[in-house]
Amino acid sequence: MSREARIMMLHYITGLVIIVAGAIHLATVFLVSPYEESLRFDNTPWSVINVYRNSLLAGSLEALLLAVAFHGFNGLRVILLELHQGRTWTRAVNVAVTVAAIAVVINGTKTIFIASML
Amino acid sequence: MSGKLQEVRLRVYRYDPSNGGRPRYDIFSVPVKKDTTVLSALLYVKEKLDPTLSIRFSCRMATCGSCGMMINGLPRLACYTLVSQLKSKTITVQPLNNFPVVKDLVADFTDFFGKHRAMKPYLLRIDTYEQEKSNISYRQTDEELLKYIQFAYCIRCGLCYAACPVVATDKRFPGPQALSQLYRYYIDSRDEGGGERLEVVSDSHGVLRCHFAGSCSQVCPKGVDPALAIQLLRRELLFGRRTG
Repeated sequence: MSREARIMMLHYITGLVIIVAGAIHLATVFLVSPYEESLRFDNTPWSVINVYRNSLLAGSLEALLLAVAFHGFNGLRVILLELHQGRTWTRAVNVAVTVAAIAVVINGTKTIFIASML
Repeated sequence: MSGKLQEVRLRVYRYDPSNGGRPRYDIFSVPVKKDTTVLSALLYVKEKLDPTLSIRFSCRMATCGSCGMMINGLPRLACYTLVSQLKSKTITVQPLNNFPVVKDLVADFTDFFGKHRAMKPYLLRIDTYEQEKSNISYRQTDEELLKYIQFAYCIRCGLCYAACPVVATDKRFPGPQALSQLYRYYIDSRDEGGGERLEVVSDSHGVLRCHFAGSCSQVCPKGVDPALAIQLLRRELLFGRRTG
């Protein structure tokens, strides 16, 4: 399988992960927990902070973050490569979206990690 | 021509890049009957009204694929489009989208044919000597034939290429015609190109860039379904060769 085919395969897989992890996230907020409680920042069972403390839910949020970062930035890469062609442009786009995706993942992971420690 | 004579307005794109002029539209009134094709109407203009009009045509029966042009905004063969079926008093004709213009309605197919050639549109055999021996024939079952035969009806008219939204922005994208021809040979039981064929379209401007708008299949005058070929090719690239 070529490099581009592997990237696109991962693109489709992360699309599915977004649907599953996104559904878990939305179900947690709107169906499982009382909605009012899910917005609170205290020690009630379904408060924001307790969701982060639950390793399973925090893990699904991390999976959502990774999937969204890859899927979104790869989608942006595909659009940018279609709009303009050339070796320098391709390299610049690849570097820029990779750096941006890594920055988003680091920042998001930091948030999940810090929140779970509170 | 048969039937009652009516008149339509032909709004024709005129442009000659060689004299640095700007594109313009000329309007001609043309008498038409029920069975008049757009090509016949344009030839009437060329013969009776303006001999400087440039058109490309040959067979007049949707076989050669020469007279592709935008007719009322859609890529069609002028010889295969009846004026009466357009149900319009004014018919706008332009050169095919996504092609450079040579003059007026004549499009430059150099890139298009270049992309077609890059797909190696012929049987690849490991033993090339065996291909050159005239007493060799390759047998095929009906099932093997059915896998590719519809894609073999392509007449390289360029209508699918003109309709493709990806070709419009990505000049390196091979386009529906080239990709469907690649699939046509890739899936042919006599061909031994295999992975070598897929390598040509596996990069970041290859088959994976198709948006699946499906406009290529909508406009094909021969009933070929390039969108299907592209999706099957994509499946081959992602999951390997299917034998079933």
